[in-house]
Amino acid sequence: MKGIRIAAVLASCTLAFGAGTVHAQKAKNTLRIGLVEPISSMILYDGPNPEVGMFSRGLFDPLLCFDNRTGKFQPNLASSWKWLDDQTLEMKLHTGVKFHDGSDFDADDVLYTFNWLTDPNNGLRFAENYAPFKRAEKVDRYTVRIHTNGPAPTAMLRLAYSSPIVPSDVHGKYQNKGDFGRKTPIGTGPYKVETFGTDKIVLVRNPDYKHGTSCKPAARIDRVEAVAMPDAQTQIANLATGNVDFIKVSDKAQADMLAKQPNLKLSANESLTYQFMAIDAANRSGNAALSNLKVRQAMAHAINRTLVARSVTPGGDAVLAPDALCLPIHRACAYSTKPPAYDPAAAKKLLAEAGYPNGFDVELTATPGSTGLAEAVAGELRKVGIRAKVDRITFAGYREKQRQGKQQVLVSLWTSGGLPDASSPIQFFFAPGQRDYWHDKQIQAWMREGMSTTDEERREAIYKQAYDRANQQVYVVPLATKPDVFIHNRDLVLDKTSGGVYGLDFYEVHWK
Amino acid sequence: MLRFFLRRLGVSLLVAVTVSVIGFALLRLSGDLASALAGETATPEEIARVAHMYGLDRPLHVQYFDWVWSALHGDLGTSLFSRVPVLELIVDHLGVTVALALSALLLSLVVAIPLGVVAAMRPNSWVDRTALALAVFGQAIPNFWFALILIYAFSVKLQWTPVSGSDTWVHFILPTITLGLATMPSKMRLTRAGMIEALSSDFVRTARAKGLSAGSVLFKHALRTAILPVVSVSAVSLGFLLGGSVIVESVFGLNGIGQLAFHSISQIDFPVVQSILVFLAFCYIFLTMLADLINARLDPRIKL
Repeated sequence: MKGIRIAAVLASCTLAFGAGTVHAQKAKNTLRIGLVEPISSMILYDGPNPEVGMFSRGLFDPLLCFDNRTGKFQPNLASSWKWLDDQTLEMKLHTGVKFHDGSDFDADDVLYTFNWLTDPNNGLRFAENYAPFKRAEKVDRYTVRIHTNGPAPTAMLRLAYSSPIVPSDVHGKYQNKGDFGRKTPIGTGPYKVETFGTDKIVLVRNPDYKHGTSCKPAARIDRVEAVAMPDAQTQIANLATGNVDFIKVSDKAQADMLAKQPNLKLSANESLTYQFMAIDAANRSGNAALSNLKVRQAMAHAINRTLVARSVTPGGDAVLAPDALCLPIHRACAYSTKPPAYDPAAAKKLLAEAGYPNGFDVELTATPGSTGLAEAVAGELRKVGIRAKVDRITFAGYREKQRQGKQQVLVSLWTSGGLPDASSPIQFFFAPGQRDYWHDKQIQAWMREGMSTTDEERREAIYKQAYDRANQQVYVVPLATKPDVFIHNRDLVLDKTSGGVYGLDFYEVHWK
Repeated sequence: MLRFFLRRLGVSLLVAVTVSVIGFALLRLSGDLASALAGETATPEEIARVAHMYGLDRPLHVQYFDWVWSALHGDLGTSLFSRVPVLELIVDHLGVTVALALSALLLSLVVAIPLGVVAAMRPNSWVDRTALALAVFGQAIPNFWFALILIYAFSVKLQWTPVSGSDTWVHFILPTITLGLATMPSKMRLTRAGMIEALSSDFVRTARAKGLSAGSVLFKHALRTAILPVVSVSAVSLGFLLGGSVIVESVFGLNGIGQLAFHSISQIDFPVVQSILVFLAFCYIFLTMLADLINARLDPRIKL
């Protein structure tokens, strides 16, 4: 609350102060960004966090672009593609594309990138992202074939989201591949680097970016300047003084208060992230009540999901209560059931039927970023007699607790692993391992089946069964979506962009 | 003196080893590092691969001794995220932190010593009361709150200084005031107490009796004696300033060691975190030892 009050003071000094600066930036067609964290590399291979991802998408191109506004793939460095069989994807590459250093892009760069990504000794932390790929093969200078390890329904999404192409002659020279992203981040994207220091990053528009599509168009802003300012209040002060043009907010009170300022506007972009309540149905934690279906149904009935979510999550009407663990944005997402609707009376009745007329004790484990939601959920549960308490925990602590089987109910959020595919939530929740608090062999069988085919219709039918069963068994209650929320100058247009885990791509941002 | 130095060095080394063990253990016991590093989607096999890649599957004592051995050879490891050598990261960020710490120390001395002297010359006067109130204010006020108030007043309202960043010396004004205010009170109180004691001592009375000017008595005799503990405290507070600027660097967006530590903790970049922890502890230990040696040099009773 203290932070919010200070933010209110900072904002109430009104933003007229910064008006002159903003007009100057608009005239210069410059965008200034306040980063939450200092960036040490410009390519997502080194740091797959949202801000690095945003820069990586601006500087580098993958072979494909997935437009989450339409759910369709579009060309990026590849101009066309076709599956020769369910394990071989042939791609024609754009000709005439140049890297920022002026060198030509061709099949050798694709080959180099994929050989490196599939090298088991590459030292990449998230090497599993490239597990679908077996190898790349050069057909001619502008044709490549990507071979997958068996049918790989997520291969094209991985190509679009996780596999920017690097220049073979530059990247190949580095013994420590981490040096590439911080010393010579040379790509083919709509922006190129002018300055990359620990204090400031400056990008300028790439005039040679000719291979764009509506999914990844050429940049409209000439210059992007980014400075790290980890403290939320400092970001607000910089917004107030016109030193930055937008900030990303995760605190609802701050977002609501700032959105009321006359010079500012709130934009909430749909994201891959949603918040959930996962219940230990397999009784790993020793809380036997939770293995009773009626109890889990009662818990879901007790929660007014929309009200709870909108009371703690910024974004207003853009915050929705999903009906399943996959979102419409996920490919092959299908379901025909919904979680139990808000009905406290039904919750109490079910608890009595389950043998808990006076409720029971339960601990909600809340990961960082979800503690407010967990408190709100605990409040709803207490209203029907379930004595819920919240354990706030660090991320590493949560994984330890999860591994030890001590997690009764988890209130957390899930980014879909940055992959808009129905396979992603099913694997995240129900795959055998530390996270599995359900031991549902049927869902696990569907999970494997869904990953064994590239037929989209068949995949939808398989996942429909899995998501319906997850709803019927009330294993995990999807609580609310979590849009990416930005507060920005009214003259800046931050419409929903083609995607990316940051929630916007600055090559699509523009001044009115 | 040599014996004292060797004894003090031995104690410092013992403290350094203890700090390194505690720092190492705290990080390892904070949770399942391999699981956290492997990410939410990782399979058990993937977690095992990450654990093996970073040596987290080895016994704790083996990990510790391996790390110490490498550190003694100048290798503090590599950042898990940027894959930059940790030593290089620390050197890159050290300049901002040292500049901030030195400027804050200087400011605190420039304010504390004159204020302490004036307060001692007029004990229990309004000047003394004001100085004490300022000291209480400096000690009691939270850093982050004072920093935000300064930003509000001087950056947002008056627009005299930038809100954040470290591009120019102007960017350091508000952080310097914030940190300087936090370390000023102890020096002011020491100066005041030392001056009160010195001004009532025999040698000052003798100096006055000899007809020396008030300024000469005050500055050449009393202050020279009173300021001795301030010198040693300053060395210690420099250690505090180097390690204690995490929040101030974060609020003012200064890309120093504090912000590097903050950022690395949030990313569970444990090679960076443990190295910064030990580096700052060593700085503190060295400066404390230096303060002890200065004290011993200036006050012969300590040698006994």
